[in-house]
Amino acid sequence: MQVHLVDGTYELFRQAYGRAARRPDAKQFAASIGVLRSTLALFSDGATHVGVASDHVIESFRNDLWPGYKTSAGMPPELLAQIPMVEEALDAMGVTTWAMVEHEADDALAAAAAIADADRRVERAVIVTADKDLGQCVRGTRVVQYDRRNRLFLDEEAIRAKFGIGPSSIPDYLGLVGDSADGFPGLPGWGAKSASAMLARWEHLESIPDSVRDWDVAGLRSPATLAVALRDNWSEALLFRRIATVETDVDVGSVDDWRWTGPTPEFARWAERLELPQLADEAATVASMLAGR
Amino acid sequence: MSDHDPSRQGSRRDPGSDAWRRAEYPPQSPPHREPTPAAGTFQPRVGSRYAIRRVGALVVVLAVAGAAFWYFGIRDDSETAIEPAPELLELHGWAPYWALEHSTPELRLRADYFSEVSPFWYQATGVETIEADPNSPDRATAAFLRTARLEGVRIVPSIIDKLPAGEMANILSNDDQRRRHVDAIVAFVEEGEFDGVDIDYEQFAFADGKGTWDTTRPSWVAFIDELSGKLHGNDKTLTVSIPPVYDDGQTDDSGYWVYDYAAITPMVDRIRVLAYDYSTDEPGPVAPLRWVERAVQGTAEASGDPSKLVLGLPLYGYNWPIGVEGTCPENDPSIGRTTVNIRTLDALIEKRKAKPVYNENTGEYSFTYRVKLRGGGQSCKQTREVHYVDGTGAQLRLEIAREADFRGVSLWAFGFENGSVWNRIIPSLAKSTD
Repeated sequence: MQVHLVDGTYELFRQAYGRAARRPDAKQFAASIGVLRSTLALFSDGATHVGVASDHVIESFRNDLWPGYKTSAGMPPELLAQIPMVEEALDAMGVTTWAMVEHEADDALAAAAAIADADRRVERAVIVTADKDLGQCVRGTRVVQYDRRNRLFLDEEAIRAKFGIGPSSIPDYLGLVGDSADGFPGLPGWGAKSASAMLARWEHLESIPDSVRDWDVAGLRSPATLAVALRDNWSEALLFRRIATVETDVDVGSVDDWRWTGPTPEFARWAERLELPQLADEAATVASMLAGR
Repeated sequence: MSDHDPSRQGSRRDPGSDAWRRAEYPPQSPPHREPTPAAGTFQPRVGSRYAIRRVGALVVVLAVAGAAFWYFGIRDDSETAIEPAPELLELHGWAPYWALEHSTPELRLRADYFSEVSPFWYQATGVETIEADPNSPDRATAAFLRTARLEGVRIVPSIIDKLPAGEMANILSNDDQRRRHVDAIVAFVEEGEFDGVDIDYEQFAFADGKGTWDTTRPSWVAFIDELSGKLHGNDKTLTVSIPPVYDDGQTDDSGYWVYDYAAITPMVDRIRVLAYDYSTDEPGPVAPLRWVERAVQGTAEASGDPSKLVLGLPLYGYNWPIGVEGTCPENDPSIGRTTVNIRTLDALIEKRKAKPVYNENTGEYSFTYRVKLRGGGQSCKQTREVHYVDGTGAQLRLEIAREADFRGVSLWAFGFENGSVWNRIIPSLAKSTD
């Protein structure tokens, strides 16, 4: 069995800025419809166990950790309004939905990936998102990331090729370089190359020697400056790593809970509300197709 | 993860720098789930229906209770009136240097809940010598202190007795040496600009032998009396961390009466009761519930003032070898008893495909697994047994303290916990900003 774990918030934004939603005659809820259709497409392609995680509230516990952490400010209100809508519509479509309040969608995806990884029946867990944070959840070829937009699978080898480090070092990497999309800056002077080179050598922040004399990494620019920045901003480095680390202590149920058995009767009303009644028929067709396999 | 190799007080001993660097990161996911889900995160669509049913049932129960109340004419002033809810608790935490990579960032998030934190890397190594453990990393310890100050959390560093057995008792029994030791502690607090100090001298209990307690007890009380006088004169606080007593006597069944709870309680600001490490010689529970209740009742009775007592909450466990086939490699620290904590347990459970079993009597989980060990041309198969307290267990012990009118709880250790611990204890904690 394969498990598909979808970043619903990312998917909603991807759909909102996609070609269909930008058409002049686009429906008001085109982004939500896009999410529902792309989820149905997963089932059409053979997916059986799917969970969609969303940021029911954009703000999370991470906002208490760092004042600049991303918020809903500046996000289009019409798009924010569609988050609870798409959650409920997915739920009516019979899809397991994790609407996160205190935590983030990333945390639910990580928790679900770990549960899938621990389940021997699961051959592969696919985390459907392009977010680099989730790279830390990749395990060999068993837990992989899928970037839908670029149609790219990222297994552990691909993560190493992309970042120069293994999945376990991704939070440390983000702790050093920051993540502008999430709103934390990283350490002064540290960039992708230096962080990658150092963590390829030492894997985690704690392993990096205090003294720059022990930094036996070739090609590092201004190592003395980097060492001073690391020493003077050590608590920030740990803090940013903490922010970048996904929390797996989130209740997402078990793999069996994620099996799709088709839309609920309620979904027809949702299809009408979204001004696309044929969506209910599409879902029913995919469900019967899946049942016939 | 194989942690450090503790002795009798293993859970509170430093693991050495290697163990700190060996810490697995990031923490793995929990393959086992606790009986009830963590609060307030995932909003399950189906689960909400159950929630509505539960609310409905509660309404019915309350309605029936209200009717009975009216019918039988029970008055508010009767003896059966509902007792007021226990007070919310203050939170302390020992922050060992080998868990700072977790506790430092966590402190930002939890600062409001901490009444005081105790950096756990200072040690008394002589009459006038108090120094940082040489294994503690400068960069990380400085960052923790800076973060605590930034967040306005009171810093009350622990000082442990690092002297050989009997030596601290000798220092305290000598008037001149005791005075010099007190002065050294006061100077340490002033120079470090700390808010107070936590005296954690456990050698009396676990190394010196009971035969010394009669003579150590008055010296200890004199020491605490002199130290508290000088600290309070400087607007600093005095906390002590000591093992429990079970009554106010001095018998073999009275617990660690060398610390004289009754005498020191009026002198100190807080007493943290180290109600764990129940099983140290053989595999068994860390802090079985009935024993914790006994310790809580005993210390409350002996101190005469539970409002100064703070219960130590174990967030760890022990991993014991219980069977072996073959010859295990020598000098491998993982062949003996090792410690685990809540953060590291999930990885172990997942790696060994273990199935933890909950014991309602002890309020703890345990599991066994088999492991092959090789090295130096030798190999063996060990059967190992793990006992530990998880987030639910921490909550159970916290409620025991709360019911006994203790002032608070203290985490052993801050940095060992995961999100589920916070979810379970936060509802019972007072915010320090309140």
